[in-house]
Amino acid sequence: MDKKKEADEVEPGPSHSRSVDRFGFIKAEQSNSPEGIVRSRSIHEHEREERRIRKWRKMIGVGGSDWRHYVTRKPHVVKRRIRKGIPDCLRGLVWQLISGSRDLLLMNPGVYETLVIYETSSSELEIIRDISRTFPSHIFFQQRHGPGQRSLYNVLKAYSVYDRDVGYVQGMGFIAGLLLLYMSEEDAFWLIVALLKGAVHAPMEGLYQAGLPLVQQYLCQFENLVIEHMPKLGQNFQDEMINPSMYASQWFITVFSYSFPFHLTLRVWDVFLYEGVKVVFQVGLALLRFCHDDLVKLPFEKLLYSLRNFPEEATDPDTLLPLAFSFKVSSRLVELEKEYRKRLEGPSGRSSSKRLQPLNSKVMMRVGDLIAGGERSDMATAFKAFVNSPVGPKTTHFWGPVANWGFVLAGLVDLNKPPEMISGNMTAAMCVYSGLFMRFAWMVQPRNYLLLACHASNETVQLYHLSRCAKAQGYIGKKEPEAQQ
Amino acid sequence: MAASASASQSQPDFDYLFKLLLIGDSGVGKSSLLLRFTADSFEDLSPTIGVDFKVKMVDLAGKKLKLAIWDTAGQERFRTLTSSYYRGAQGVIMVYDVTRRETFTDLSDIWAKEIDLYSTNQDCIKMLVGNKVDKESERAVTKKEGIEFAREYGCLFLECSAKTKVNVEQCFEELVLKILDTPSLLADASSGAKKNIFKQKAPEADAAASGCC
Repeated sequence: MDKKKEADEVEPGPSHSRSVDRFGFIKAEQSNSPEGIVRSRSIHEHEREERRIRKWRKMIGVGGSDWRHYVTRKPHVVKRRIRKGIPDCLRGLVWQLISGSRDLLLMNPGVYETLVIYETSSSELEIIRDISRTFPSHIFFQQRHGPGQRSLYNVLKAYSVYDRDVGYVQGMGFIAGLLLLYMSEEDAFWLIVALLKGAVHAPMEGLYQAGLPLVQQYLCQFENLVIEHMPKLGQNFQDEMINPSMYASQWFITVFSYSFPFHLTLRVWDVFLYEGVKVVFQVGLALLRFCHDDLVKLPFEKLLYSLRNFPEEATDPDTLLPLAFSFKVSSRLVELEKEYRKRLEGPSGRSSSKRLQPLNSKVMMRVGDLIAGGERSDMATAFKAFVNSPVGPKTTHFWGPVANWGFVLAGLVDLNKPPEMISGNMTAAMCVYSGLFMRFAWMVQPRNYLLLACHASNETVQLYHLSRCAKAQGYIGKKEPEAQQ
Repeated sequence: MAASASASQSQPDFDYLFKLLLIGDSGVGKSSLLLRFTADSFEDLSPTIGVDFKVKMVDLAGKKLKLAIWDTAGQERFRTLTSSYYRGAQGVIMVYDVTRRETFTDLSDIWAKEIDLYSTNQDCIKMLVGNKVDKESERAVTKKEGIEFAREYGCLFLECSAKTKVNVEQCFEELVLKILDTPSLLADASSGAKKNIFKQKAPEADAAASGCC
């Protein structure tokens, strides 16, 4: 964390020979600010940030003492705050708390040291060769044989000894490098152990084991999710023969730490460590959704190019993450994993292929259903896409508006009641309320038309009631009787 | 790389589309060669995770050619992801590092076998490239050894340096000229068959291997 602070202090310095962004990456010469939208901080914003940090400190307690208590008591508050981003100065500590690596560290005193000092690994040369190629544009890792490169080597070597089945795989360096910017070597090592061995979530060692079994599974699940959530794009991918292995392997293998803007990587990691790998799928879907209208039209090479070079607006975490969270994928991921496992077991028993045929054809039917091929499945796909859409009936974003139609109905029923019974205050409140919700429904990503329609109707009904009330109280329509006289 | 890809795509027409593949051990400079060839630049690159892809238009022998080049991760663990990209390639470039002997011996031990195993074009042209000749003092593989290997395996051979630009373009040009000389490879590479070029070799066979659709 100390290194981080250094980086922070370097930033405001105007004529530093090599200017560094707020994360310590050396800036590209053209100031196309690779870190996305740079905001100049107003005093107001600064105060808000301070308040946020105070809240976080309270939540964590001294040395993390209150954390567990807080998480069990108010998991939703924690989830919400994490989704907004962990304050950078507390990130390292919180990451250790939410990943379960703290406990591993405390349970295994001295183990890391032994791994680093006394053990040798067959991957040592491979690791050394990649050290200078990991975050080469970060000041911490830039210096040859400097402290950054040494820590990176130690962590990777220690892991390759700790788990010889995994050893060292390219891509792990980015994860280790990312962690080392926020914690000590030993902490970073145990966090990797926690992730790969599954301290809190499902183990992820399959991302790196021989055959990369988990990468294959994730890619398959992702391909299906794309087809289900964005049938048109899924179709274009199919027509152009684009396979997720061409663009998304590194998303999973490095959890977005390989080629995305660092401020996005950090926000994804906040959520990833607390909620699990699901967020990688969500962010992947959100990237595709954000560029959806372009992507559906592009031919092979341009498509591949776009899938590796997302525009800056797409990688702004404040836009991308809310969009990502709007994809509800948890239950579908479980189902897809089951299907995938089933299919895997299929070919392995090829000797008794006859017995397996019914199962395979069932799977094929399932796949046929998902791929918008025939006319019949077109409808099914559209329906499925609606059901699974972020405002579909599997979400509160569908049932909320449905329930809100109750306001409109009640308002309509009251139309014939005498205006003296109308509460002006209450009706005015309803008008403001629906007005606010109309704005929300319009601004939210994706736009919630059902909610918008509901509140537009309610606004109309309530405004009518308000006018009746006003008339009855004599605020408007005074002139009318005079004119009649 | 943005410039190279988009610039090449703005040209509407081409006579042939060739699919090329770069293979070889990790760190021998496959991505650097490709970057030098497509964008004429050289920089510190991160290891390739999985595969990368670039397009370059070239005019050769009076023909407009579009080269679709797949760059693969060199580390052994990634071979499950890269093996499907051999399919349908008209040319394969095997790269080694002249300063690291093991990257040369791995070509016969590993990479030549990978080509035999996964390539679908019988006549696919192979090219042996020794990279990093700028580090002459650290050389561990002689030019003669390269020539012998090339003779034995029936492939073209060049030594080059992505850093100093020496021979980089020639690598691709020689390979492409040889492809142009091989009628069986031209059949499915003409612009008429352009759609198919990717299709037949898109890594659908992953499906067979991984059970994915």
